[in-house]
Amino acid sequence: MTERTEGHDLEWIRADDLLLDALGRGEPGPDDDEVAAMLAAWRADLADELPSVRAAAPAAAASATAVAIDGQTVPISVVRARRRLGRPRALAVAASLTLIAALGGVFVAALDATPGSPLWPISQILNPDRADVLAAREAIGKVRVAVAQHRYGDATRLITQAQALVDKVHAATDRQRLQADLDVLVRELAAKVSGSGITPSGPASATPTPTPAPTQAPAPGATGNGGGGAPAHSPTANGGGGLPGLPLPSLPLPSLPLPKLPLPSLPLPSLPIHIP
Amino acid sequence: MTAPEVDLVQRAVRGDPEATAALLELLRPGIVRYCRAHLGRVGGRYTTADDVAQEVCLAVLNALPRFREQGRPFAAFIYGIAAHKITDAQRAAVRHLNVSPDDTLAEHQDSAPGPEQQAIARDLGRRLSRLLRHLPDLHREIVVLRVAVGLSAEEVGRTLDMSPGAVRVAQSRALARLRTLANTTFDEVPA
Repeated sequence: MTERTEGHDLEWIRADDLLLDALGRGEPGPDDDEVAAMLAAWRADLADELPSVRAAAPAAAASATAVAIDGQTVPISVVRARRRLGRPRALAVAASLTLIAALGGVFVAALDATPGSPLWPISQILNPDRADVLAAREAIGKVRVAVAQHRYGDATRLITQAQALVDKVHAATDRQRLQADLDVLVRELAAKVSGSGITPSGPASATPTPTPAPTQAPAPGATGNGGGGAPAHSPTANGGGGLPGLPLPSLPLPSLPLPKLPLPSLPLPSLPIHIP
Repeated sequence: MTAPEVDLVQRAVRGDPEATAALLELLRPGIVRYCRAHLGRVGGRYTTADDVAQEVCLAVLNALPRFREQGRPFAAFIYGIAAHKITDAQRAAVRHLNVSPDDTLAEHQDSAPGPEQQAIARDLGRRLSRLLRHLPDLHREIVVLRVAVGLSAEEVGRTLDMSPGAVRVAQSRALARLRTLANTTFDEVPA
């Protein structure tokens, strides 16, 4: 090997080029070439345990760093890094923090994507936890629109989809909040269906939904829980159920941000309402 | 990333989300290896390098719409961005901790050595990474792009503003230097 120290003539240049091509593809070098073996080992080590993108953004780290940038979750494991190792890792933390500061705009742009926007698939890759929440939220929004527009068949189908997406949400607090939102809509749909004169099918009238009554769209001045003075939405079929003690506010439209109701999270794996 | 589909790049530049996601997945392994090659293990792990690689991916995404106007080859575009991020990270490390990157790179603890063969391979790789630091910057960058990333000599040339021929001459010199170093610096580097 020492005779190759110059390595300038064309033959060596060509041989070296082929060697580097092979090493660049991850292939091993020739047995008798120590530097080639080192380069191959180095190349293999660099590819060792390539981090998966999903694993790179654990929920804990993401939520812990969310404060740093406009409340956006950031897939940088600053907190994780600091926790895991001592002084040497301080370097990692310092570098990451600086880059976070410098890249704030980029993060917001890439991570602020919502379903349907151009960066959405990227957001799904970079920040899957947030993506799940947004997907569920969007699905619930569609349910809300369908209910508001009295498209009950669509609403039923969309609720099933939304439920599946809510179930996928990892963080318990997010999942419970979304479930509560969805439950409100399920009850609202039940109330509207019965109030609109559509007769639910047999099994649906014996619906397992334990809190069917409180309509979310009573006429202003309605006394709160179902059976009040809202003629269009009076949930007569369900009037007997409900949670009479709930201090439900009078909301003109279901599309408004609903206040958090102190309802338990109901197990509603599938919509128990069947519309003929 | 050797030659990502031209079509994929074009669609990604136009803002096609699916193409952008696919392109990102295609580019990531090369970007990760590039950052690891330059930043090395810190405390025995590649976490810092992987974090910087993530930054590079985001910066690439952010710069993607501008790619066409710049009219540069795609590999040059990607690894130009990556080179800047690496420089930023090294500067930040030096500024914040007043530690030279070389000191940090040299530091390695192996608390959990794997099977013997794996340990030997890892040791070989580390020796190489130490030898690399004795190369001139340009030669080191060429070795990283050719071996760690897997770019062709042509792509490296476009990335570094050199002709492919100049790259081939330089990479041979770099290899020759590594071979010399492997024989002469063995004693000075703790195994």
